[in-house]
Amino acid sequence: MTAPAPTLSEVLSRPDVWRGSSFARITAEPSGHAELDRKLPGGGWPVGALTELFPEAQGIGEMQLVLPWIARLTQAGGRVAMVDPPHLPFAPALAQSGVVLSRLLLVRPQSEDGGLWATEQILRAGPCGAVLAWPGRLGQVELKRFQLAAEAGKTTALMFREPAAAAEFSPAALRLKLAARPGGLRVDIFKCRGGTPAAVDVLLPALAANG
Amino acid sequence: MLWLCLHLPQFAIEALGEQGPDHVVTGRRGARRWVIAGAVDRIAPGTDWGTVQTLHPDIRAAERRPRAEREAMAALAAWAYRYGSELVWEITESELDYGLPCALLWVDIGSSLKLFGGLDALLADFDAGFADSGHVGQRGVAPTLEAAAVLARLGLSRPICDVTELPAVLDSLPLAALPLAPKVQDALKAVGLSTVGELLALPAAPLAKRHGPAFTLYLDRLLGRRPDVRPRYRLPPKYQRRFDLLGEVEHSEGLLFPLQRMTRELGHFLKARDTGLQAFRLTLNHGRASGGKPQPDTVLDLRLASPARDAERLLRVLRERLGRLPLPAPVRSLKLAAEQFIEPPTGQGDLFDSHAGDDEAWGQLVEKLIARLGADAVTALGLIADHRPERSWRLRACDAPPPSPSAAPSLAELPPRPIWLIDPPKPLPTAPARIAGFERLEGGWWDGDDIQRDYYRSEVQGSGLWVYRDRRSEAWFLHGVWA
Repeated sequence: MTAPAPTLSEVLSRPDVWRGSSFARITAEPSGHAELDRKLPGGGWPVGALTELFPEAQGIGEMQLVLPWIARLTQAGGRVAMVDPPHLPFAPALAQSGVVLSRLLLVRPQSEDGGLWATEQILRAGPCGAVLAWPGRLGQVELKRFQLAAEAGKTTALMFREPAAAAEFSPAALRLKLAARPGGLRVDIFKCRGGTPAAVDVLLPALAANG
Repeated sequence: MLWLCLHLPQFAIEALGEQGPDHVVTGRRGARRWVIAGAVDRIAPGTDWGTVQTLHPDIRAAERRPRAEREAMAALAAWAYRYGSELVWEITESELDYGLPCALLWVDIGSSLKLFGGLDALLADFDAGFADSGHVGQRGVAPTLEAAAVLARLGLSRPICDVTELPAVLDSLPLAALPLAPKVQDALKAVGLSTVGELLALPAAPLAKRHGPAFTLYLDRLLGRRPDVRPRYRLPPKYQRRFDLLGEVEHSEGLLFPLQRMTRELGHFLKARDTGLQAFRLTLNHGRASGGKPQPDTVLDLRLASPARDAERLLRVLRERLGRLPLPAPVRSLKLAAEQFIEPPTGQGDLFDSHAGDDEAWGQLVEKLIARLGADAVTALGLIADHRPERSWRLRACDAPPPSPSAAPSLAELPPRPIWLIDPPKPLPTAPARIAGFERLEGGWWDGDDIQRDYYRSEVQGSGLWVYRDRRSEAWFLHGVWA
């Protein structure tokens, strides 16, 4: 069985087709933070692409930035995978944030290689709408592979990385530096495909309430 | 009824698994030993073993293994089951010295013709499938079991669909085409008969008197004049298949080729039984060590995320598992076994369901991850109704059904909890600065894990930490990170 030939409009709406007159349309999932969505091309986390987050330290609220979207995704029946998180995700806290735990897959491999392999497999397979990964050191080759795998599986890949890695070149569609601010985060969008770099302060109510 | 008969001349050696071109299988009666199958291009079946040893000193012989032959026949029957539900098979011993065993498998294709779109389409499908099975053989198609066997043995592949056509085809065949006892064969030759047609022209009563009623019964069954009732083959309730390797295999990659064949057979079996499996077992036999001591088998128990019958999927799981397994010793033979079968859910989807294939893809992904990383590394999270943080969660197997929503503990009254849990809690050398958000957690004497803690929220260099003071030891611990 052969696939029907795509129509012109389908071809033009592909993210890898670029027309001189306009930016290609980016498919994205709203992050749940209105002020951030306004600055991101497509209005949220890009689907089928790699996003890199560089929190300046662990525990500044980087998870609060993504949890509203994870909660919405799992409530809608989507699946989310967490690969090699730095600590054990605390089930009651996730449930409090609205995440449906039965739609969450936790992968904690013994080795770093296992984590990279698992990340790529999950991205490529596609049944997970989102993959949150905490890879160790990543080279160009791995990043490129993740980007291609995310495209193949139409998965949204969020990588939490060391701040030092922000200086390296990366094929990721979106790269954000996160810095702590009272009651929230300062998000520095320093690379974004289909948009312009910007910086925005995001208020995180969960942090403000307990801070 | 329309029977398709498969005649397998090399079955005795094919059943033993992977064999080289210089391997033969021998038959034995008393002191006599002769070649049954194998090395066909050099040695004619039936050659005396002494002669073979003199002419070809490099030939290696193995004994027949009836059990292996039965297993291989069962595997072939499971595959043939797709062409018809009525199966008969026979492995007959010849009464002769230098006699060759005869392996025959019949399947009634008469009721499947429409399904496959006619006889030609069915036969084309059958031939293509048989070429993949790793056996060599010939087929014959006829309305009676015996006639189909005669055609198969001679390699006359032109199908005969009607009983009335039978005499015309059989008449011209030599008498030797019929599987008659040598005594009968000689007696018929002595009265001047040379073709089947001449034999069939004779009146039945004198033939019965001379050669016994079994002889005329055979002729009647051959021509379909009397019914030929034989026990039909039923697929066994359990699956077990052994496969001997040609030599010793030292690396797990070398096992993939035989495993591909074994999983394909298992797939045929599952399809024929219309069922699936969720767990199966692969046993690697290492033979004897150089000291002559038998070595323990390596047993791999494999689990799937959901019931499956697809050979590709079974092989993928095996491949991932073998890929991370160092073989303790070279492998001599493989055994694949499955006992419990579960019907896989059929792919009946909602008309408007866009997630139709998702669950299947999900199951396969989880399976692949578990096979490579181990079941401990691939889990889901669950809640437990307990106020103590370290007891309020658990790791759940991914393939376990999700708990019912009513069983989930209520979290409404619970103060906010941090996203990351440090497990076990890390002792802090000094009391943390800047603490806020007090919460006291106590209790647990009923299960011997009593806690008396005061929890606080602290901040170190912008990172939110969840710390507690143990009220008995006055020591401080880090128990979570707000992220």
